[in-house]
Amino acid sequence: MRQKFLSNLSEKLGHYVLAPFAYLYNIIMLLYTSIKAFRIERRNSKQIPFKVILLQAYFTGIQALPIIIIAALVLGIVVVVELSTILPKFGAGSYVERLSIITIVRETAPIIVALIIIGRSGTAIATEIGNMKLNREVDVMDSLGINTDFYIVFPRIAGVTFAIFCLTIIFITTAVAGGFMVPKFLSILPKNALFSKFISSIYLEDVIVLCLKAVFFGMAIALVSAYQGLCVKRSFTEVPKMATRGVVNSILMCFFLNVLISLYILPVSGL
Amino acid sequence: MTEHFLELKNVHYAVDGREILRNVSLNIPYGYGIMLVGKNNSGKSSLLKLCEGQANPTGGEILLKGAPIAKLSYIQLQNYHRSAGTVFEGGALINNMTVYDNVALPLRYHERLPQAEMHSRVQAQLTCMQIEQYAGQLPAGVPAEVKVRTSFARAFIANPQILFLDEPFTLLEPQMLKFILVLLKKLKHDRKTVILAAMNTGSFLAAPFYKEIADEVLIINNNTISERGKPEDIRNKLLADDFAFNV
Repeated sequence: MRQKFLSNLSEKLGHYVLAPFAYLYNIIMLLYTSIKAFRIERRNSKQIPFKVILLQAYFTGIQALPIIIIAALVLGIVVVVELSTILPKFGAGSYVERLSIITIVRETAPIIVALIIIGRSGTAIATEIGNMKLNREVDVMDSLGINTDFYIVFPRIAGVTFAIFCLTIIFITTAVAGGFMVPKFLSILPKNALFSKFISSIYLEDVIVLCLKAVFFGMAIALVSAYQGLCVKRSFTEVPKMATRGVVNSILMCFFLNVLISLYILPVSGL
Repeated sequence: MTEHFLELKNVHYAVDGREILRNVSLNIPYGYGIMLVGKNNSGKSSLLKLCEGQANPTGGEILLKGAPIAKLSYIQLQNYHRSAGTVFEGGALINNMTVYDNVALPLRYHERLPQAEMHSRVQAQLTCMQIEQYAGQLPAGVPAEVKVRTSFARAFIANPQILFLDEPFTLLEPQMLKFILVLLKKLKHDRKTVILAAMNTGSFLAAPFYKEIADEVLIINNNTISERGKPEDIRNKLLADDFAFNV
């Protein structure tokens, strides 16, 4: 009895320990098969599904613009005003611009954009692909000789990654410009604060980190959401479950990548 | 050279340890019509899937023109799929594409045709299936029967060598059904193969038109082929005894 309990316990513990690695492996395999499918189909002179990519980019990018601009403006104002109020009290007024840039460009902008896109597009992708599976649309494509990794997964990866990249640039531009101009207009910022100082505080490594995060977050969101959609098997009740799982796993994946890139690939320098 | 388009040799198929098909052997020559009859979850759709090369058998072998289907290269398998047309129950149209785009999909994906030629081929199929007026609409907004007709148009557009029909007739109006049967007979006359799955013996008994496209009827029961023969013979047998009630 005791032995059976211990055996069950170790089995369950083993499952919980290994499950994240198995999940990560499946996500990487989906990326691999999509890229492989792209290469094979291009070699066979198949046309890139630009329409699907553009529709995905439109849905993820253009339709999310209003919320991205509002979030960027609010964040920019809060970060700049808070730092320019607090730092001078500690004699660190000269770091306002650089710290604002680190906070907005390196850390908050990519993750906030990612969170917004997970909420909007991640769920939509998982739900759409899940429903496609249940309606046998995926089966139909397979039986017509249409490579679903090339026609369904790859355009989502390309569309979401491109859209997130563009949205992150727009987010940063709005946050930095708005964060400077609105408090300046309301006379909250010190008189010696100059916009050019903000701009000159952006280093090349910040741009690299930003680009890395935008690209990796975009790929992670599209892959996780598409994978969860493809996991739907039989019932319509699985669709919302998979969509929710897609959201949670995308968030975890983005946080994990954020830590990896920020702390290990290109840590902050130049303070 | 083999005379058979497809050969199934002692095929077994299981999913997650659950047996779906057991010991299925079948020869399908060119221009042959086969009808699979069985209850829900009897394995008809799985048999179609195996014949399509969408799944590999867990035992036995499937040969396509003499070559094991499991050993075909990606390109060979894709060419096979390209030469096949499929119609599922309810149409299974791509929901975010218009009726026109659904019909054009195989051409757009596989063939680099000039726009005018592609348009004329799609238009011809839409006219043939009498669905031109729905061309610009999404599947969600069209009647169920139109979805099935669209699915037939999509299956016919690439001049298929083999047709897989999974419960395709249930939603069709009698007039359109008659018309599609004529098209299927013409395809068979051109040595194209037709594999058709039908829900149960009842629909087979109630619809004698099946004999016009099926050269052989297979009754699938308890995960295997329990009865096979010419449509007329199977029909008479089913009507003569209480066999039909047990299938």
